[in-house]
Amino acid sequence: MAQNNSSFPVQLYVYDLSRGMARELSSLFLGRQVDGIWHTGVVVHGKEFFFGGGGIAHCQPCGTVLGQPNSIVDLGYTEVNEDLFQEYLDSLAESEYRGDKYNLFEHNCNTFSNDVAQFLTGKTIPSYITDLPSEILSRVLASGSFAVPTPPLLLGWRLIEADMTVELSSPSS
Amino acid sequence: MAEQGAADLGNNNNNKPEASEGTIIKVTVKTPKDKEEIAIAEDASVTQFKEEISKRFKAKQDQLVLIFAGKILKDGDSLSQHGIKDGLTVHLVIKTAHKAADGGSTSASSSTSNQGGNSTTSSPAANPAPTTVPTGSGHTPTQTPNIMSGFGDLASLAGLGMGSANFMELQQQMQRQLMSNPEMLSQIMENPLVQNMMSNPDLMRQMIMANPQMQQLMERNPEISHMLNNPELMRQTMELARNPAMMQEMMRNQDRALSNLESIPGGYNALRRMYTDIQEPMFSAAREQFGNNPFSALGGNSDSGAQPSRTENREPLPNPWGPPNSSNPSESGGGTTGSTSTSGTTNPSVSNPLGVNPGSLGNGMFNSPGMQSLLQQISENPQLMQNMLSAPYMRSMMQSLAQNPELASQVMMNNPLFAGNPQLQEQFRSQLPIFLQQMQNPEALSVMTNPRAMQALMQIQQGLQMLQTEAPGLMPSLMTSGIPGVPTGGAVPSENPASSPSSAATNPAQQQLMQQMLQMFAGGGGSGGGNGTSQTPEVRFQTQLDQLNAMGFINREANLQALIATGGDINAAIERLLGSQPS
Repeated sequence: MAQNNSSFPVQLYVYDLSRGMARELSSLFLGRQVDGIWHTGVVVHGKEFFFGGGGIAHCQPCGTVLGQPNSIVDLGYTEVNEDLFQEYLDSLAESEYRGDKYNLFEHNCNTFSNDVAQFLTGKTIPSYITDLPSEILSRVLASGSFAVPTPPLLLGWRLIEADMTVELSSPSS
Repeated sequence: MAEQGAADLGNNNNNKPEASEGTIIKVTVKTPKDKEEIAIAEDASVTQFKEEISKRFKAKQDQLVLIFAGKILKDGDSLSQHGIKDGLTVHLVIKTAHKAADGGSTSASSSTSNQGGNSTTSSPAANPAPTTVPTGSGHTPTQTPNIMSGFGDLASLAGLGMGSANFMELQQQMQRQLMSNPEMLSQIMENPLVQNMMSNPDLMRQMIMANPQMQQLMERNPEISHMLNNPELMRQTMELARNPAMMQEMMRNQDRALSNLESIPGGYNALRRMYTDIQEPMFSAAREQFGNNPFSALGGNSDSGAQPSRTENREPLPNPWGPPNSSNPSESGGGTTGSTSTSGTTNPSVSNPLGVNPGSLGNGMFNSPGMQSLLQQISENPQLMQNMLSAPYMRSMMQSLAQNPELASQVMMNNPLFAGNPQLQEQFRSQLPIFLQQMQNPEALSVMTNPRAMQALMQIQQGLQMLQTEAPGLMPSLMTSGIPGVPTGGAVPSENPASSPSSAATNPAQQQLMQQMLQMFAGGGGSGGGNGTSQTPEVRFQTQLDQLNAMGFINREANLQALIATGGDINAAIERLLGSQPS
């Protein structure tokens, strides 16, 4: 019905931080298969938005150090225009999604993507992404293997986000 | 009932259940900061809804923007039109007056400033000049941890900033970051390899300088570059890195300071804490696992892949050639090492880069489904192996390990897998130089990435196992009758009888091979045979070397390499020598 408002497509870009390693090695180290260490960003209005250690950040789609996404999930359309979205993000940035709120397991890029996706389209992101931290965490504890690349994988997740947000939020850019 | 946009506050129709609008539903209204449940009539209009909301959220109605299922709710619509039912969530954005701008440009600029605002919001001790470590309590001591954390994070930035999204480099950075975590720190610091790395301030400095971020930072704050260039300071930092307790102290003190570095360290601290939370249970879990039920996973636990092998190894195996398997440098991470075991006597060769000891097959180790699946995975994804092996730090690690066998053995010893098994240690130690050499050999690497080679290896394993089970008595007779064309030993086998002038054991190469096999099997059977630990390749291949010499291949070094690579097969070695002239 809302023809007066334009519709903006919303997509979820999904990246595998482990670049395939998780798929290959996770069953060894965790005892169960984890297909990837997922990082996500929401692409709308021609930009990619994500949450990292530096807070909410945005860039050109595929513009993070991760390059091309592993997969793109179509989330549908939204009527929310750029201004409105920006305001929304601003309030988020002051509250729930400040930089220091970042928590690798509980409140990370995927949490953000999920919330934003719901805001924009009413849909949630695929559960295999949001379930990841609890899976890994439980596995890490259970497997008891400490010389394991898994924490580095997760740390990498965290670091990438930190780095991305820093790069993008630096004033000169 | 068609209220105009102007809120008619006196109108009770909105609120009272008795009003004619029908059932009341509870709709959750969610803002970025807040969440409220609002009771509203099912067939109310958006305007009415907004009235309620404006009361609850204390905002003007025209500041409210409601979004549901991606649609913006307009005043003229009704809730039911949008499918808003009981229990659903509607999103609300309260427009702040000065931000309600129309132009796209404004939003762009506000977004930038707000992004900047994001960073500063999160660091309350907001000091725009990150270097001047905000506690400002004295110079060197406070600056030092700043650098250290700088290492922790900025070094990682350096890695990332170098533009390579290579995850392997990331791992390296991560490890460095782990250093600042006290528990992990002591673990890692004991690792002489790491110490080597750390004692190279030039390297560190280089990494930091390479990061454009850092460069910017340095422009803004020349103090940073001073710090970096001050060797005294660097050394202090290294010391600090070695001393976990002091580290921790400093880190804690610098919490606020760290957050100024573009708020990365803020999360970094959280990360450390988080890691601590994980490390503790992991350590205790690890101890449990190793201590309690060592044989639980013996040859048959399909799930844990290399894990059962690790667990098994802790116990004295009946088979002295029991596959040590598993991680060479476990730090180097990953299944690579899981498969690159140098078990028993088999010297790694190109055709047998895993140094797979066929004699150990009977042990159930390599037959464990986990192991098989590991090999399978590896063979299925050569790219992965390639990636892992080509990781730059892996390379350098390999190199330094190769150059420094003590170092390597120390690394091994530190690995708790070996701690309880001195036999393993011995084996490993003796294998180490060869193994490392092999790792250097790009041929070996490329074979590992070659799925067919991997499969061939697996076949070899299986074949050997069959041989062992089917005909344990075959061994002695093999000695005299020559090798049947069974896939045994390296990729040598079938060629060898063919190439040897006679199938009699008189062929020295064959003899060599037989001896090898004997050793392997003897090992498989118990303590019999000789202790097959390596004679040096030169000794073993003496005859072949001589032959090669006689044929005109005078480059002894190259000959040796080729022989090692082909496991003593002269023909193959010759091919190698001929084919790989430039190398």
